[in-house]
Amino acid sequence: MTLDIHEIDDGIIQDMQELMEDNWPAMVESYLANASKYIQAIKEGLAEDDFQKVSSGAHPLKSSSLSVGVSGIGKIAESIEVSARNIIEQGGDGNSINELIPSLEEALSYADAKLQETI
Amino acid sequence: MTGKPNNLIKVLIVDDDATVLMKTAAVLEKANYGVTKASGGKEALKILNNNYMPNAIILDRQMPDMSGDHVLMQIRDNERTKSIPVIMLTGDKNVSDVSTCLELGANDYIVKPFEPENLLLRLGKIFRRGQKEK
Repeated sequence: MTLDIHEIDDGIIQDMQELMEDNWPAMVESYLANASKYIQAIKEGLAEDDFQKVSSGAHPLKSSSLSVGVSGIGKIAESIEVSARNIIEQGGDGNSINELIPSLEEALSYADAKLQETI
Repeated sequence: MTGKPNNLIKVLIVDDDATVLMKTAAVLEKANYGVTKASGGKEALKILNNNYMPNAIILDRQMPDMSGDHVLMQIRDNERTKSIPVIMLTGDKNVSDVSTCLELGANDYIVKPFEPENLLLRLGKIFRRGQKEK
C-alpha cells in the first residue's frame, strides 16, 4: 500500500471549521500538541519493544487525525497500529514501524503548516 | 443538524482524545443536548458515582486509564446506572469488536471518525426506542 503522507481532506477541514466555529483554533492547537505526544509515545514504545505502547499511541493519532482531515497522518498511524497489533499477537520486530517514523514526522510538519493556515 | 432536542437531555461523553471529545461535544451542543465531558474511564465513573445521571453515555472503547469495555461493565453492574443507554465509539470496524461491544451491553456503536449526522441519528433512535418502551 502506498501512503500519501501529504494527504489532506479539505472537505473535512471545512466541515470541522463550520462545526467548531470560534473553537477551531483551540482544536487545531490541541490536535497538534496531542499528535506530537502520540508520536513520542510510539517512538518510546519502539525503543522499549513495548508494542502495546506503540498501538496505544497510534490508535488516538489515527482517529484524531482523520477527524480533523489530516488523512496522511491518519493512514500512517493506522498502518502502525495494525503492525503493532500483529506483533503483539504473532511476534516479530518493529523494523517496519521504525521505517514509517520519518514519514510520520514529515507528515505532521506538513499538516502543522496546513492547519496553521486555517486559523 | 437532526432535530432539536430539549437541552434537559443530558449526555456524558467519555474519550481520552481531546480532539474527538471536542468534536463530539460540539456536535451535541449544536443539537441542543446538555453535555458533560470526561477524559477517561475513571473520571466518567467518578462523575456517575457523584449522582450525575445522564440520559445517555457516549463511550470510547480504547482509553489508557481504563478500557471502555471495563467502564461499560461497571455501568451495567450498578443498579443506579445499568439502564442508561450507552453508545460505544470504536476505531475498529471488524465484526468481533462490534459484537463484543453489543455483548457487553452497549446499545449501539459508532466507528470513528464519524459523521455528525450519524451520531445524532443513532442517539435520536435510542431515545425514541426508550420512549416507546415506557
